[in-house]
Amino acid sequence: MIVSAPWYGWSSIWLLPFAAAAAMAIAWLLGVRRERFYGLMSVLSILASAIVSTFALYYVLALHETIDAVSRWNWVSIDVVGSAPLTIGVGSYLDGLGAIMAVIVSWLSFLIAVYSLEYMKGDWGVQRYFFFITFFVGSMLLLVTAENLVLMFIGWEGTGLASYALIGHWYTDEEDKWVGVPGRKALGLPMYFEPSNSGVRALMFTRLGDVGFLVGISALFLVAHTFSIPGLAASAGTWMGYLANKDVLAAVLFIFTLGALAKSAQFPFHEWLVTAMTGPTPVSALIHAATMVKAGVYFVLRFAPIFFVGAIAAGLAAEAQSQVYFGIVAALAALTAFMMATMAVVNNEFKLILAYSTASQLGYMILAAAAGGLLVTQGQAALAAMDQGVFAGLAQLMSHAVFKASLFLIAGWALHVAESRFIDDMGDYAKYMKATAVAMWLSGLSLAAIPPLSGFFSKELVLESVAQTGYAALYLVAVVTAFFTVAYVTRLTIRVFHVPAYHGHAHEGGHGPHEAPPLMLIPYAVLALGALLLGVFWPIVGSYLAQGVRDTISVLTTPVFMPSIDLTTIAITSLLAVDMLLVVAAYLRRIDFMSAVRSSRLLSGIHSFLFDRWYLNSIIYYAFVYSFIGLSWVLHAVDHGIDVFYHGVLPSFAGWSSALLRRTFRGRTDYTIAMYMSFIGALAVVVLVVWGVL
Amino acid sequence: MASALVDLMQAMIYLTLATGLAAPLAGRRWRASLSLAFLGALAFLGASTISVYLSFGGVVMLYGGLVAQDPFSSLIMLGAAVSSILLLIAVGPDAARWSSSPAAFSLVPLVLFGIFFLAGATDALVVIATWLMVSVASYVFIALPDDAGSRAASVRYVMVGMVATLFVIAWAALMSALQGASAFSIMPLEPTGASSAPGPLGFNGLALAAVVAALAALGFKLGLFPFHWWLPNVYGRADGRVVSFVAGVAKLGFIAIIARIVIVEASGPLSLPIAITAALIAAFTMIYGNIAALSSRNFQMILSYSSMAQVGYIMTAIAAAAYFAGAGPSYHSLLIMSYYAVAIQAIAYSFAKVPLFALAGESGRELSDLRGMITSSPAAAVASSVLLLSLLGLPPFLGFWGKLYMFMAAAGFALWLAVLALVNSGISAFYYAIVIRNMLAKGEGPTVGRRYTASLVLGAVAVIAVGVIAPLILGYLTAVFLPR
Amino acid sequence: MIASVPVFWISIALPIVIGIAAWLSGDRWRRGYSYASALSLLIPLGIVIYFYASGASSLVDPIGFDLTSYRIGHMFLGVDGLSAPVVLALSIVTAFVSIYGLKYMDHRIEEMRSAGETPPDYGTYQFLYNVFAATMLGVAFATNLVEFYVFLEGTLISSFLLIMYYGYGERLRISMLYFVWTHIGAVTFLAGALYYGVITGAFDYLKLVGTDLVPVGPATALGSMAVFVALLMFVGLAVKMALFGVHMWLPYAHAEAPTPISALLSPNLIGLAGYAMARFLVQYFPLIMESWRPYLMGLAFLTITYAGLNALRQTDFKRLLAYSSVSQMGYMLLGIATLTQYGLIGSMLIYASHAVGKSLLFMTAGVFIVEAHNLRDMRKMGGLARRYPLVAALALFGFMNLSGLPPALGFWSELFIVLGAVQAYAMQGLGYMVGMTALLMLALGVTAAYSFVTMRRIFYGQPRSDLGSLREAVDPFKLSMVAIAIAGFAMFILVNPMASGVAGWLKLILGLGGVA
Repeated sequence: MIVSAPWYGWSSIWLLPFAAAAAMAIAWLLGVRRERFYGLMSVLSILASAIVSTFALYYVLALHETIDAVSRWNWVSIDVVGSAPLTIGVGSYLDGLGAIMAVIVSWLSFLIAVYSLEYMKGDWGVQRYFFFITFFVGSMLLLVTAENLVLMFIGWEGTGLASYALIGHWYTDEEDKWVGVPGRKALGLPMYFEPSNSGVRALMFTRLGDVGFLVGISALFLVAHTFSIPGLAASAGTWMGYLANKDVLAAVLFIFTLGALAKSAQFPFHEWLVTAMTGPTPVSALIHAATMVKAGVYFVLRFAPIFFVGAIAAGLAAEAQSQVYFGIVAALAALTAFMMATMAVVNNEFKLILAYSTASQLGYMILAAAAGGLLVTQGQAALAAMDQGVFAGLAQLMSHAVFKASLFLIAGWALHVAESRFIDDMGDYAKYMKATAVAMWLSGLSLAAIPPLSGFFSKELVLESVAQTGYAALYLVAVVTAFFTVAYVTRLTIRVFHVPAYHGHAHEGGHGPHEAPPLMLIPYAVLALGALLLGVFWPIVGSYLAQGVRDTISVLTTPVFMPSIDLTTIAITSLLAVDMLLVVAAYLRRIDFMSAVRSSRLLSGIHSFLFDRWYLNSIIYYAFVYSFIGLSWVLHAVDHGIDVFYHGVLPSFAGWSSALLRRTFRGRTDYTIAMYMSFIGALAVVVLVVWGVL
Repeated sequence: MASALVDLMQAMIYLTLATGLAAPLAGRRWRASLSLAFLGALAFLGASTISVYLSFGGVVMLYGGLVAQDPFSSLIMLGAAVSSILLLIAVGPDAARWSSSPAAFSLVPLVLFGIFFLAGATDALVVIATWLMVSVASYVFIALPDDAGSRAASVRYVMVGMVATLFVIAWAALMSALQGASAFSIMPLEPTGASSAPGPLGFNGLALAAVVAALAALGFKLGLFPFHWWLPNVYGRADGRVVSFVAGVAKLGFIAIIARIVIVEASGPLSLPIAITAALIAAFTMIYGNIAALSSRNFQMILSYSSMAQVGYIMTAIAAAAYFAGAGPSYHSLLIMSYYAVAIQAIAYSFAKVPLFALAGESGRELSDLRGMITSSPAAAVASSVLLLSLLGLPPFLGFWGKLYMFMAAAGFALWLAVLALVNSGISAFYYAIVIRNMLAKGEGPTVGRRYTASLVLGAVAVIAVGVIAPLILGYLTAVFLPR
Repeated sequence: MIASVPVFWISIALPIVIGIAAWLSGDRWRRGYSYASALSLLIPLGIVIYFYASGASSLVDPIGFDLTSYRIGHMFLGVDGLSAPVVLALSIVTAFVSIYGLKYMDHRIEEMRSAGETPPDYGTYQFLYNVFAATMLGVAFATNLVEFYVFLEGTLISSFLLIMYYGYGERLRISMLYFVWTHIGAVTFLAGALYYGVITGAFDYLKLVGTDLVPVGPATALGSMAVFVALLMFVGLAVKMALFGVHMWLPYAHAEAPTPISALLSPNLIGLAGYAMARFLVQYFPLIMESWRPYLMGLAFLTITYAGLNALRQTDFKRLLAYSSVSQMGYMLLGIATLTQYGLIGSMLIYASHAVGKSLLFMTAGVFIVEAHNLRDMRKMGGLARRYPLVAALALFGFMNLSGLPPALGFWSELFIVLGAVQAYAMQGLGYMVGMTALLMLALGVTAAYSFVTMRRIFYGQPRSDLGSLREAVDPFKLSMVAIAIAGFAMFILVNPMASGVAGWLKLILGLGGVA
């Protein structure tokens, strides 16, 4: 049942961080520079919104209410001639999905903000850092709780802006802040990126997607006459039918989804996420692992069921076209998942490996939801499959948010200790930091989907929902990806924690590696523990999660929260374990892969192909960036031509003819008289002839 | 009451004539003769003011209908009066230094006296008489300064002027022939019984020939293409101070009469051919003038060509009026408007040209001579920029209203004409802006004499003051002279 | 609704009076005059707020002139839904740039004097500045084509003199280019206007019915000539607006003008031409505009992309901003050319958002010119954010306005223009949908690209020139920028009156037989 929660006011979830951010800005203008002020403002405001969102979750899950709080007044309301008025209200729509997302986002943000208090201590841009973190949390919460598309888009752009600013936080571009191996080139293009460059990349890649999102919003509004998400869901059958008749349904839906693909770094937009690792590690943890990149997934989870139900209501044409749409999205997701996993296997930067893994996991989540949609042509019968897909996606999203945030926070400490971002400069950390090592293993195993950690269940659910679509290719890709996942995460853990560094200098550093200070340790310890507990208590967690999905708009069935533990599950899981053990053994017995790679041309070919991200970065640059640079060069020449024409050719011509006119019959009275007479004659003749007198 | 005013007006005209005749008697005592000239100008100012007042009530017929003063001619006379005062303020004492100074002071009132009849003439013979008077006066005036340039210019002016005079007479003869009698009145050209259309050309042929003759004669005076060949030599070479009289004051009379002749003669079946002929002449004239002025760096030369362009603009309105005159009563208001436009533009033109030409005569005709005026004599610089902007037709100066209404009329006749005129005036921005730029550029510039400054400032003030109230004048303009 | 006091005339006259006073007192009491001018220029802001609060469809000055018997029509001053955003932006920008100009022009005049030139004193600047600002307001207030033209030429003369006196580079030649080209544009427009006026007998485009200004509606009287008149008006305005092909004058004028003037020229003055397109072409020639729609939209996209990519290649900061203005005018044309209600709302919002954004950016350039020894070459910039955190933030906000990121007003303009573009074409079929999306991606992508690449070149990375130990001083010079930014944010929040005001005007137009 839907209630307008009175205690909720309007959208105080995201209002608080925004207010805090505004306060920080004003304080900065007034000359306040005390680091503690900004840190506390940020942490406290985020904590407050976390508590509010928890209340909201309680309402939704325990009391089965959907909070639909829309302000009495409208932000924008324009009465348009010949059509319904355009109104944009301000408000929140918290159904199961929204509430769960809000809770995940706000609590993760809280933990990471606390971690940042220590991590960013004494940084020269710390005020800016906390301002943008807080602004980001506000935007992200606005995104997930927005009642209508415009608010959602505003939050969406806000997160993009914050991510731009935070990726480029160390915009002075010192080399130790870069990502990539300095000097390395692929196809003649550099594969290393300064923070400021990465910021521009992130903004541009996502911006292109967002334009598609905006076009989609416009198209939907023009056919459905509303921006409200529940409104769109209610009338989905009608407007999808209309679009299907015009044969643009698939196109509109896909264009609408472009924003999500870009945000969640799906092929071909994945490049920005990789280089986004130039930001401070808490930022990578929060924005580029736990929350913002999940916005795209949230988008798909939010709209897939709406499209699904709408298509069924709209009829065969709509079903066929939306199946095409789901197919494209699923294919892209699967491709991304596999591609990024392969890249992660060979890379040698701690955060970069995690970034690849993030993109790959995001692919998993989107794949789950999209796969659910693939059965749309079966009509009502397939509803359960759709909802199962949404559930799988959400489960994967949650567990991934937890363990990936933990992994990144650990990475932050590891990089700090090693004073390097390359894993070859790290080693034997298990000796120095037991707790961190435990956390690492818990989160790592969860990512590797080893039972009983939460990652196991969520990944199983994803695989199941892919399997039930009957598209063997997708299923296969998903499974293979799982093996790669295990390989790279195991390699990472062993490399950093259990074998000595290749380049020993890391330890001679003034302070040897030691355990992290509590303010940093506790957050990722908590998260790692969470990864474990979520798994152990999956029956409870899962049931609540399923409950939440059930209470989500356009979800009509209660998904099964327990993956069926059948033979394939066991087989795959045990094979994954074997896979892991192999990697462990290989590393403990010091097998030097690099020398093998160097010796064999084939291997080195493969290696650099994977290491250079399948050369996609260079290809994209050649195809788009450089083509436009060339075009702008040409247009610059054209502009010069125009300038010359107007300010060179025209004036000189005018001056020349002017001088000519002035030179005619200067002086010489007799000529003057002759001209006078002859022209009179000429004029007379002309006039008389023209007027037909002669 | 009205009759009393008419008498007063005539009395003042005669006073003007008297001062003109008396001025030389003062001989070398130039102050006396200058003040006489002033007196004459003031008398003429009074006369034209009265004439404006009377004619707003309706056309004033004088001398048994040989002269008709309508608001149009009266406004132009008013303009001539004011600009002649500007001229006297500027050049007065300088003229005294010329060997034949008394002539100068007598010529000003005499020309004004002539303008009264020229502007109001309704009869070819009156036109011929006053034509001779005014043109001879201007020939002499050009020759007044003692420098060679002026004399040479005057010679050319006279030579071509003689030929032009023949065409005035030819026109008068044709008019009389067309009326099949010894009547010389300026009439709408329409067959008054085909019998009275002698010659192989037939009536229309004669009529158009008459028009061509009139255009040729007056076109010469105004510097219309293709009768303008003398213009750069005279306006550009002679001493600016005398040019300012010929180009600024005397020209007004000819503008008035060409408008009357063309429009009146066009108010018959021949209106379209006449209008189009005039339009073509206008188009060529302004294009020629503008392009010729474009790249010149000689201030006086720019002024001469720009005055050619200005006359071209005026001709567009006259052409439009010629069309409206024949197009029937529904176009009457537009016709009035075009008359008004011509008058306003003529006034704006002479207010600007008189002081500017005088300035060219005073402080050198090269553009470089004017550089940095803003430093040396700011008032003069600002005033002359205002005058130039008014010539360019920028609001809120008088020239704007002139152009606005002229080109409105042109647009009412033929859009292409209006577009052509406006594009021309757009291009003309170039050379006006160059002059302004030089005047307003900081640096060591010429010091403009007090009297010249005064006349520039007065001209600028007049251009602004009249510019503010200009559109209101149109409201009073009701009747213009149109036979039948 | 008719105002009880002639506040419109006051708001135009007062700045000019103050300007004359400043002129007479030369270099004395500069601060007083610049703040006084700022206050007087804020009057229109009050007018618009009152207008919005009153909820009337228009607000008219009690003093108006009836020139019908002179074939001119009526001359009123007033504001309605369409012009309100324009007046709003004009008032805010001109007021705060006047304060900004105090320090800037002191520096500029000092610099010129030390270079041995003899520029006119500060009073002259303030006078010309106020005339420029007041006449721009007049253009927005006008209700009659002649009135409009009079004010338009007023802006031309004052800005021409300002460039000529205080400009950079070959300022004599450049002021000349500026004067001639824009004057040609103006008279071409006038030619169309004259024909319209002589045929219909009056030049009104808003007439007073009862107590409200009402559009006069399509120019049916023109008959077959309508196309030519529309063409003349369009070409004239296009030159003023510096659309692709006739943009040649803009990069010179806007780059070399003294920076406070660039901050007015670039967003406000050329934007007025776009406002005029919405005002005249859409009202008078709806059907002709509809037949031109595809070409106009094509021209718009061409302008956006062309100018945007050219901006990428500039090395002079101010010149880059000039090109970006051309690109923004492309957006404005795009919104108008869609001929949809959303598109027109969007292009009026572009006026405001561009005014805020571009003035901020020009003022940023001015900060470096004043405080960093005429630093304009972007190849010598870099890492400036460390020295100028506040300015960097303001510049970022400016670029957000251009590329339409919330919380900048540019977001709303972007949203509405995309709505308009999609409504105009995309819904007709698969090809249209994909093509329009691609074009919009191209346009908005290029804009974002030059915005943020420039942001990086100027503010990020390592410093590429030694600026000594510069420190950012927060003085009125920069606070005026902050004020504009705050106004921009406020407009983002309070966008509804602006948007619905334009919609109200559109309702009147459509009632008179326009298209949308």
